[in-house]
Amino acid sequence: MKSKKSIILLALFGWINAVDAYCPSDSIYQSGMESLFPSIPSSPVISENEAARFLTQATFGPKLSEIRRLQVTGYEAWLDEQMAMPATLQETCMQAVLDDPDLPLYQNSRQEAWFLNSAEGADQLRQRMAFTLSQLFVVSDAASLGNEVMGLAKYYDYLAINAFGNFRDQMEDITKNTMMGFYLGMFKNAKANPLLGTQPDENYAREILQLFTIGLHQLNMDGTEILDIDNNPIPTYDQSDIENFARVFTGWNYAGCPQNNWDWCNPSQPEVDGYAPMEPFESYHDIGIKTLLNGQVLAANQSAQQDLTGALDNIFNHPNVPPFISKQLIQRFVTSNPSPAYVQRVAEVFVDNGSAVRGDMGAVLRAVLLDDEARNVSFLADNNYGKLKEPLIRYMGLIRAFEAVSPTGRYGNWNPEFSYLQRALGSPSVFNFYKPGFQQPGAIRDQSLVSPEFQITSETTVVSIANEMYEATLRGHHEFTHWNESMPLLQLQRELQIYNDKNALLDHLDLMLFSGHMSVNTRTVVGDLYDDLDDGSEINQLASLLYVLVLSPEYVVQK
Amino acid sequence: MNRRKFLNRSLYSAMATGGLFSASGMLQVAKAAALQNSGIMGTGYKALVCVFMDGGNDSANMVVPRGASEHAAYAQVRGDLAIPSGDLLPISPANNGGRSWGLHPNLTGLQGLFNNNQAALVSNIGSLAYPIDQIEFNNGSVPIPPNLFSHSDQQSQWQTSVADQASASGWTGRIADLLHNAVNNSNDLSMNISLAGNNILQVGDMINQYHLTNQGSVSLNGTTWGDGPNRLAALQSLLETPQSNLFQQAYSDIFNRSIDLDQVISAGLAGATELNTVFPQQEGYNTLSSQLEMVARMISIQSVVGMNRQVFFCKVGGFDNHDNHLNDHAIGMQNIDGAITAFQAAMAELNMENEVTLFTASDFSRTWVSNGQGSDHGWGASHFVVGGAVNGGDIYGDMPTIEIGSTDTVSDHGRVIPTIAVDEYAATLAQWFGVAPGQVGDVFPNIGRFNSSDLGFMS
Repeated sequence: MKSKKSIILLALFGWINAVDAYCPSDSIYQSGMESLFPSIPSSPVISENEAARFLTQATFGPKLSEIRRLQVTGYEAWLDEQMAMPATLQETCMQAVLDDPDLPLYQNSRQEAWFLNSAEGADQLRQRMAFTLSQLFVVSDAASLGNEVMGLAKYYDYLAINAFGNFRDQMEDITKNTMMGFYLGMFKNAKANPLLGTQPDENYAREILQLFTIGLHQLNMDGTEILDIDNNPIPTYDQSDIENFARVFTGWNYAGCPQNNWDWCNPSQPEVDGYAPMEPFESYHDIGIKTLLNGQVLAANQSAQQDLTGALDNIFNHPNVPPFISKQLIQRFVTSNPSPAYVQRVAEVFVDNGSAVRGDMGAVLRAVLLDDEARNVSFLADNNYGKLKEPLIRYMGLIRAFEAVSPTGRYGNWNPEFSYLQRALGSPSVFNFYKPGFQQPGAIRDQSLVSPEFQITSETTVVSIANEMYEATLRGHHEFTHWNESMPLLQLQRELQIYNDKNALLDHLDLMLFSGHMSVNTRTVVGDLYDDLDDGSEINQLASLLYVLVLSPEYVVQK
Repeated sequence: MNRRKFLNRSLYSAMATGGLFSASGMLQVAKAAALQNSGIMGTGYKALVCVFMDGGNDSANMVVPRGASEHAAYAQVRGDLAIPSGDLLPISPANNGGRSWGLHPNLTGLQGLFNNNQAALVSNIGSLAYPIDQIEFNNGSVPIPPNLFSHSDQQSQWQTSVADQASASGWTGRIADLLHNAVNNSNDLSMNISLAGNNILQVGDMINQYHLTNQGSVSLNGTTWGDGPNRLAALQSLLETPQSNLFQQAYSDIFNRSIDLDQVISAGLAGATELNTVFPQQEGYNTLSSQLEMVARMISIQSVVGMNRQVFFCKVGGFDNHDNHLNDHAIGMQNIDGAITAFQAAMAELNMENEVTLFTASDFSRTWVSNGQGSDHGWGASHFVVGGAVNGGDIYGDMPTIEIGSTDTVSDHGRVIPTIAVDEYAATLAQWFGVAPGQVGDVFPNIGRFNSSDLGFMS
């Protein structure tokens, strides 16, 4: 037992070096490039509150330096810059671990890379979009992919690299990805075999339709359901469609497999690539006629790729795709219950980005973030506006606002799902952590509204998250002496500098955590707490204020 | 926080949210009297425990025909998914119709409970809008549940028992609306407790579910020393402030309830007598075994927390076996067998075996036909009901005949058409639990469409 422990410790220190060398770190405290308080622009394009609010929606949380920069560039130029920025990759971190013979490669390493990249990657919009796409095109290490660390890191990187690409390309690429292939059964999915009495696997066929592209019910462009004469929703497909699509998705195996080796082909063979897009084995592909959505027919005797192209085109051009995808992006970035008009405006950009291109996800994301319903603060007065922040995004908001740095370069929050009920590429099933239509019982349900993130919010999770916030504040600041060496520490030098000026401090915290919209009541309560705190140092008192603020109803709900 | 403040907040909350929990003792007494007068209120303690097998349990490999010709037909249809006849664990149902049956090889504990009349099987249950046969299904003359064969929809139809439309409440939620305030002395703790996250089963129109982890309730850290009390007071002040934004108010409601009930639950569990029953270690996070162990501990403190009727929801994953079916399903069977057997032993230890009934549920069963190494989404399924109040040792309902060309199925893939509606299965449990015959229709609005509201498997 004792020797085992020392091996683990050695592994920890080895990993520290690896992370320092390969994972990004652009904290101002490490680079020393900027002063604690970046200068306020003389002629800003937008206010600091507007900038902070935009960054709360579009990134893992505002930093003061980013607020100041956005005030100067304005939204459009910032979006241009972010979309042009290369992706910060998890693969480089995983490769560093692989290259070190002393280090095992576990899903822990991938979670660390996710925390590091999400907290510190300069490509914030890309990382945030990747996180969103990872909750749409769901694969998970919670089941059969438990050992696939590099494959999942590459899958996430793929989502980051192509975050602003075309939806049709994303469909094709995730369909052929081996991780998705393993997860939803398209990998080595063979045509029906009358001798064995087998039929094709229907799993991918069903979930690509139900969850990734069109959903269950026919939609108007504004995201509302089309109803029949009895006021019932109209299905987009039936079981026969699933069986036809299941036949489309037959005949795919690892890239580089010898064509006589369907069953035993595997990546230990030198010619086989376990991470490259899957390639077809024509003899295992069903070449019969297939009837797809809206009665479109795929002719007999087509190749696996021809059928795949035809079927993905058929789905991509279904009228549901623009509103189905647009509404979910709005729900992830801006508000749980967008007006139908907002959904329609974004969906129209999905249909045509202005250059007659359908599915331009960069343009769609711009439309989501720049819409009046996203930007106009008059919506904040609407009692139904906004969304509960995803648990990991609440944490990231704290980490980024106070520019946490891990002295060891580590980010050892290995099992965030225990407290936060979220984990990058680790949802319990293909249905993600929550469904877009979840309704919290009570006033939200009674008003026919939805609240997706409440599906993982309960008496147990509000407190388990609160206890994580306790660790991250009271036991996670830069002067705390018994810190967990694998965790980042909030750098509170800036806030300490103004700690004795109560109003300046509250103004600053208001900007960083509430985009300048802290209510009078909250300010009063927190101001009274400031006066009452009497234990220990200023930094402990500051940490107490942060703890209460990040658990407040106004912080956890993004408006 | 003192009691008066808590009551005030509860009253406020009740008004603000439409009455999640009525804190009015007077109202409670009046309601109880009214219900007692109408003869509805049950006596003593009763609990229902739902074990939901997530993903669609392949019940055709859970209960398998053992007769030579019937097993041969089964083996032919199932191909590589078939379990050899000699591996099956024999059971002896009282009314077997001349057929013989065996359980999955990993269900050793359930075999014992079945043969000792502590467990029954109910066969071919599924979500139905109306009774339907193959001809009616194929010609579309009888409505079917929407989005058939979709996980999320069939899960919700099982849990709402309203298969033909979207329902905002589940069937144990509606039971709680009916009974909770009348029979339970603790209005703050819901009748419905989930060990496995949010579910629609336990959502009522008025009474929502309460959540526990497999270790009990979760307490806030760092509230007692240093500035802890100051922090807690400030946090509670923010959480008690009425919020105009609906999301903010919903978050505050949950957080306040969590803090208040944690005091009750943590104290109760800390004072509970340790169980001697050993629950098996199972692989994974929030295992069924750990959930059922916590349910057993909660049942052991039912009188301390003032509960006379409780419903617990547990969930176990690993049943969506599109791939690697034989291996993964065997693990799933082992998980339910070990956990349920230990739970039943714990109930015996607590002398609660006649007061507690455990039942299984799942999205659907799976296709008989293999897709190579797995099977796809099916429909009708067999389920276990376990406990001392169960008329055990029997199979209720008709076991479909597994053979090529069966008229019991939707298609040539072997998706079985249910012959018992979820409504009938659930109504039988609900009436044992204390729902009066005259109120079955309030909980199960579609029950009149089906043959029976009491399948006879409960005494």
